[in-house]
Amino acid sequence: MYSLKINQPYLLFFFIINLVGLVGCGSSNGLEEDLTITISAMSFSPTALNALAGDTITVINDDTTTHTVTSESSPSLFDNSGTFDTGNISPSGTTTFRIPDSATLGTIYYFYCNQHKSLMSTPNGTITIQN
Amino acid sequence: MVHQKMKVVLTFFLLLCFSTTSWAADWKDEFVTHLHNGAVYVQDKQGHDLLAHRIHDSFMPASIIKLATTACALKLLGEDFRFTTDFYITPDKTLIVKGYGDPMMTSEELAAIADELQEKGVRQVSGIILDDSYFSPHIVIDGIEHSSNPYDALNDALLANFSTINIRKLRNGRIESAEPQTPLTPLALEMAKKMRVGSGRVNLAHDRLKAVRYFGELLAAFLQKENVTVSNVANNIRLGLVPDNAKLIYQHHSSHNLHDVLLGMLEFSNNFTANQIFLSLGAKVYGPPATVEKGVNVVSKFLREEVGWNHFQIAEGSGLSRRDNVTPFEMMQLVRYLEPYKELFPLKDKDQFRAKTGTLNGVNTFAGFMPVDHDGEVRFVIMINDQVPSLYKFQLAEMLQRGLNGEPLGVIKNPAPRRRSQRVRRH
Repeated sequence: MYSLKINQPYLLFFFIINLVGLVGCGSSNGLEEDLTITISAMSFSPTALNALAGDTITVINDDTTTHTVTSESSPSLFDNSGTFDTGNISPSGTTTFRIPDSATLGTIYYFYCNQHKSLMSTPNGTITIQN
Repeated sequence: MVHQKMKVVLTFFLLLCFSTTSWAADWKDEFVTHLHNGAVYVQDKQGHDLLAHRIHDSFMPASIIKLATTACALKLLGEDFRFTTDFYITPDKTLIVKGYGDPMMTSEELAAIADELQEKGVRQVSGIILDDSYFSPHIVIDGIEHSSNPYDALNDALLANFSTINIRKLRNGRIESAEPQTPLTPLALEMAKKMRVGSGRVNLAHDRLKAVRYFGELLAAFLQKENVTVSNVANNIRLGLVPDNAKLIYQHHSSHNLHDVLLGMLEFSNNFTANQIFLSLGAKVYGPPATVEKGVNVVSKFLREEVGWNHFQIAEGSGLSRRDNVTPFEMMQLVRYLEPYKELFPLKDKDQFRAKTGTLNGVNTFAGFMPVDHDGEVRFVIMINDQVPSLYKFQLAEMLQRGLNGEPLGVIKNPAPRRRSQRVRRH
């Protein structure tokens, strides 16, 4: 009978490589979601993304003018609900913000640019809390 | 005895107060009689009204509407924004230029581009395709007339030298470029044939094909200066889209940032530049192609939501349209909004006022900042929709300044209304 001999140090190496791969996929939620919002030509991209409680979202301002990513109570209310706010991001600037650890599954956070509000091509975006 | 003295002093003060109040009312009443069909609004630094007459009535603003275009551009594009122009090449050496409405694409800029293309290895060009699809080909700016005047120049995504050619025709029939930095092109020669002896800047008569062709001819001339071979210039320049097999070799960023562009636009009240910016704003928010409607929507939305305008109409971005209208109250809101950018307001009337002028036939407007003795500076808006001389606004502003300084108002020279047949240049 054919028997497969497994070298234990090799198995350990293989396990570590896989672990590093999981951690390094750019998302702590295992969804392989790119947790980046890019702003260019007065638009958010994407306008809808999924995240986990405690995730860090990166914001890249690829536009020629200052923008923000600010949470709002509901779409187009532009009221800075206080959940998150990047503050002003200069052109070519990058920043991050964190989804609250207390965010519950299924919560939808709406966001907008506090500098341009409805003047944006995409005035609102959403972050949905998923598993 | 003491009572007697107190009575005298009190009476003196009461008379003084009464006469001061009465004088203040008098000069204001007298001042507004000089407005004809017009309005005035003056506020101190704290926003207190010092003089308000017909501030909620609508008036044609003429070129002071450029302040609205300016404010919207600062908000949506940013002070450091630079217009770009893309350069592509195909395997058969066709050079493709895609424009995005740069209003400052001058000869100096084209010379720098030619130098850069040569540096990037361009040695031979078999043809030039000009892609102006970022702007709609059907743009009609209300108020622009079919004349050869530079202020009636056409708007497009890819134009050179404000869409105008500066040429000189000598008595002996010789034609030369009226500016040393601009080579004479075949189209310039063609245009000069229709000119009288002398020099002048003529626009390309609302012929989009000619205007874009002029861009191509100028670029070819500058490339040849850089020892780049351009085959058969006259027949190998055409309009078209960037083909799939074209490779981007250079993206040119204008050497002027938006702050500089706005400074020049307001100083010279350049209608062409104002509308290039106005159209670009529409394309930025709603996507290409740029149209007047998109520009109107974006700037109107900005004015409503950011500046607080409610009773207004804009039809374009320069003030050429007689369909533009706004109240002095709203203009004051805009002057206040732009206070952090006060340096953009031109110095006018022997550098006395930092303010923007507006002039159309039957429209005389002035808005900005005025130095006064006590408060240091006030904001003011003067809007007249009547036949008055074009310099009337300066005389009125000087009179207003005297009134605010507590000096005699004096007289306005040549206050007689103009006859309706007289034309006023727009600036």
